[in-house]
Amino acid sequence: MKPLPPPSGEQSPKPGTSGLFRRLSALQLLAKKLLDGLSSGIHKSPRKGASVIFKQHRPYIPGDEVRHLDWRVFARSDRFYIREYEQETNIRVTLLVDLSGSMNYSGTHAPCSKADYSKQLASGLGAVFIQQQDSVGLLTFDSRIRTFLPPRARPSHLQALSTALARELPGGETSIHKVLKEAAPRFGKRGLLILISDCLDQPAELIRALSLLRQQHHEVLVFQILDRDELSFPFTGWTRFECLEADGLYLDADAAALRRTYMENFERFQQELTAGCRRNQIELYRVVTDESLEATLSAHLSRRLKRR
Amino acid sequence: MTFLNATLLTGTAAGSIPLLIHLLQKNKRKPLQWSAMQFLFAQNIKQRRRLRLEQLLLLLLRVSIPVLLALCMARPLLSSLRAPSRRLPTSLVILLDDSASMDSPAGPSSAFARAKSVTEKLLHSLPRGSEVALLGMSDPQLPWSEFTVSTERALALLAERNPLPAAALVKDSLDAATEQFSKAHLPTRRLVIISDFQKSNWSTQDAVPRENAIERLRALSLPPEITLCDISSAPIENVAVESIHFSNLPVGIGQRMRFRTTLHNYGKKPRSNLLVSWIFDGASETPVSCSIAANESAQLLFEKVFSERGVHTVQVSVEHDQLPADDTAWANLTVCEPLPILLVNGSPSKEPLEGETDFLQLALQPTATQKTQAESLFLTEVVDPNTWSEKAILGAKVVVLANVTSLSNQRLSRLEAFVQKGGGLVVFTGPQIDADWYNKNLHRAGRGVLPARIDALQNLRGDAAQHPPSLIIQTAGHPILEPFSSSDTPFQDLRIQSWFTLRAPATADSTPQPTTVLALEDGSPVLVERRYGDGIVLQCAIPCSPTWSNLPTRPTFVPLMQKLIAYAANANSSPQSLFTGDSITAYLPTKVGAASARIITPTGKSVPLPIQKKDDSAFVEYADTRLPGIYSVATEGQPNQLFALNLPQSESNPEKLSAEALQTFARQSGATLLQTEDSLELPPPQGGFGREIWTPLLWLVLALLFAESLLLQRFHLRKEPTP
Repeated sequence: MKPLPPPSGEQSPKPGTSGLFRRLSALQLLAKKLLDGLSSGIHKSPRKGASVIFKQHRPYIPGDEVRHLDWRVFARSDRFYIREYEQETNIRVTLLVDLSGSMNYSGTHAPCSKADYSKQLASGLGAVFIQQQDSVGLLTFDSRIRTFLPPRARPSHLQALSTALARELPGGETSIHKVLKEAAPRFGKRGLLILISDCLDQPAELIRALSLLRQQHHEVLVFQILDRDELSFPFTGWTRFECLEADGLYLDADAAALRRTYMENFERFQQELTAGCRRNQIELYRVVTDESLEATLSAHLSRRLKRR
Repeated sequence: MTFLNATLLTGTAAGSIPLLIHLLQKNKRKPLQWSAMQFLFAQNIKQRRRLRLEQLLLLLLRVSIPVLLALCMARPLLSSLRAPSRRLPTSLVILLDDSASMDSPAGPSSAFARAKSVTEKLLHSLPRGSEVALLGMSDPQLPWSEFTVSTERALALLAERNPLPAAALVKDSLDAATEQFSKAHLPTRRLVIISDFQKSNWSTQDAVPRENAIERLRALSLPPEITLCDISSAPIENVAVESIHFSNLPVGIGQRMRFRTTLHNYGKKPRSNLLVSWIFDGASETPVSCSIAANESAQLLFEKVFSERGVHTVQVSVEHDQLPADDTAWANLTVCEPLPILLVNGSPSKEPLEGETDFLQLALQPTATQKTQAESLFLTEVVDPNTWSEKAILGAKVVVLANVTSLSNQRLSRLEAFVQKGGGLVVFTGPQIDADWYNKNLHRAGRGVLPARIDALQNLRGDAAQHPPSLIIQTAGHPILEPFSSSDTPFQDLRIQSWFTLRAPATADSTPQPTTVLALEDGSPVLVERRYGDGIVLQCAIPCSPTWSNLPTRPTFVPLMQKLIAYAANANSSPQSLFTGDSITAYLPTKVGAASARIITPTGKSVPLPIQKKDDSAFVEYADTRLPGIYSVATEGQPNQLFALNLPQSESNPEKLSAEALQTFARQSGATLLQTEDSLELPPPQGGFGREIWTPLLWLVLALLFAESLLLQRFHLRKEPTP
């Protein structure tokens, strides 16, 4: 499946207009297609609870509910054992979608901008989780929190997620670490936090913010969305590089002469980010916007299943 | 620092091209909205500075390469770097005096042979890589050799040269050397003048143009060092034929022509029994001998009667001496056809000698009534003023109005046109003339053909008639008066009773001024002449008949009238003799059929000449007249025209510039004086003008090109593999 075409231009229509509905429909359609293509039941909760799937027996300890006692075992062994089952659902997933200005970049060969790709990815993930009865929340941000939808497991919540994503347009500066620190109290008990961003922030601060989330027992997953141009820097000739985030910031330079410096800096950044994620047991997936979204999701989900 | 090819400095402007490309590319930058700005800025200021430095360095290299290349081509000369030795390649111009005086002996050989020997030694001693130009001073405009690096070629050209019977042109030679130096390629420059420094050529009389020429030489961006090489020659004995003089009036068959030649003894000893030969048309007359004191002149006369019409050559030679070039002089003259003269008789008569023009006709054709071998120079036709046909004037050389009352307007305008085109007009007054008509129609307040206004008639009566005023010569040496040059008072027995007062006021405009040839003792003009157009008009205050004077009955009348009419007929003649170096211009009939003419030089060489046409005239020109002698211009269907060219007198005088004068000249011109008795090596350059630095500059350009290529590879072309 190919990613959806990008929004029609920078000057996107306001929420409630036909543009919004078009984007919303596209996201919903994408989510449906993703669900059709992916298998269900891919999560297993680390928490144990009432379920049909038996997990283990353990000795009774005072305080346990009496209704969980396995009387059959008591009859055979004259000891009190508690019967435990696996809890399959109700994971709290929060999608953290970066909609800063840098996410608006669309490369020369990319089918859509990074922001559009992120929205599609978030929408697809949301549909998968809700289909598994997981609670899915959404937080969009740039240098501040724009929208926050608390996790819900209702199927109708997917509509809310899609609407929120479609309404938001990329813009503003990036400050991921600041936003994560600010939003950390809102994530409540431990859950799965999926950050969808280009991560173009100060790597040390970003890693520090992510490790903070990890300390709160959240599982953190990072989808780093990049354009092919950001990886190869294919430009030549005298170019005015205008910043997508900060107004008035530009650099006039011979692109060929800049390439070396850029590539060095980019590689250094990537190494710091990768090392930081590995150190904090954060899964980092680098996604390029000219890659198929379905393939990206499949690869990610299958990897998670294998790890279980 | 100076530059040998300063004009090529404009090429340094090419240095702006990389700068312009840089700026234009900067202005043409593409806008790109970019996300990962933090990676574009170098991690720190140091990296950004390095990037900027790299770009600046490349730009500097690219700008400096064309600038240095242009500098290199302009051939800079660093004056602070002095020449290390005398063996520097040199641009040498040798001015070799090849004038006639250099043919005089100097020791066992001639001065020119010694000069050639000096030149050869100079050429052999030139440092490797030098260039040399050879110029002869008698014709510097045609260099023997432009700058050449081949010493062998210069030596070969030198070997072919011999002294010419011509004068040394010092100022022209210096100017020619200046022109040569403007084409020189080397910074070390020398001018060597090898000459006998003959006083007549190097005297102070010509100092100003010579000094100006030296100034022009010194004003060059790289002025040459001048060396004067004096070829000392022994004092010589020389007698020169300086000139042949004769009347330039037309001469006819059988007429006695008087020639006068001037000889000068430039030696220190008197010459006696010097044989002088007169050679006419190649046939020598019996030589005559003469004696000339030291440093004196002598004149010899010779009379000759020509029996054939046409151009005749005259040559005077003396015995050959140590300077043979000036031992001969040439001239040429034309024995012409009888000149048609139209006599307009204002008072005809059937009685002998009663008509107004009878005496004049007799004077012009004295042989018509005698049986002699002499042929009359003039062919007269007497016409009536009221009936003469217009055709008569067309064939005439001179028209004589004798006591003519007036003319019809048609005849008047035709007469004016005749004079304007070169015909001669002689006007004699008389009792019948209408003075008012003459003043109004012929004089026209000085703008007409008549030179003088005719005023009151003067008549001597009573005692005054017994003492008439004498006729005196007003313009001595006038060609008309040549027959009377030997007499102090040729007109003493002349009695003039009546005459018209002629008033010849000076005209304010550019028309030629009238000249009074003869006048009465009270100053009243009797014979006045003036040019009108291409012709000559002579106006006489008395008639040509014995009405008012006894002139027609005097012996002076015939030669006077003959010379007067001949003078009027010869208005449009060319100069008789020229000097070597002068251009020959031969005028041809306008309707000449041939496209080209030929000139035969004194050596017998035939040179084709194109016929040039300008306005109404056709002519040929020839400038290579270095040899004295007779030059003959031959055109198909036309008689040959001869031109006699003689050596200028300045070459005949062997006297050298004094040692003091030569040293003064050397000092004033900043030159080094070199005696041939001295070492023939040139003195080393006085400090030189510096050294050329184009070679290291060229190496620098190559190094910069290499460095640019290396840096480019290092800065830009080392691309990382695409992720």
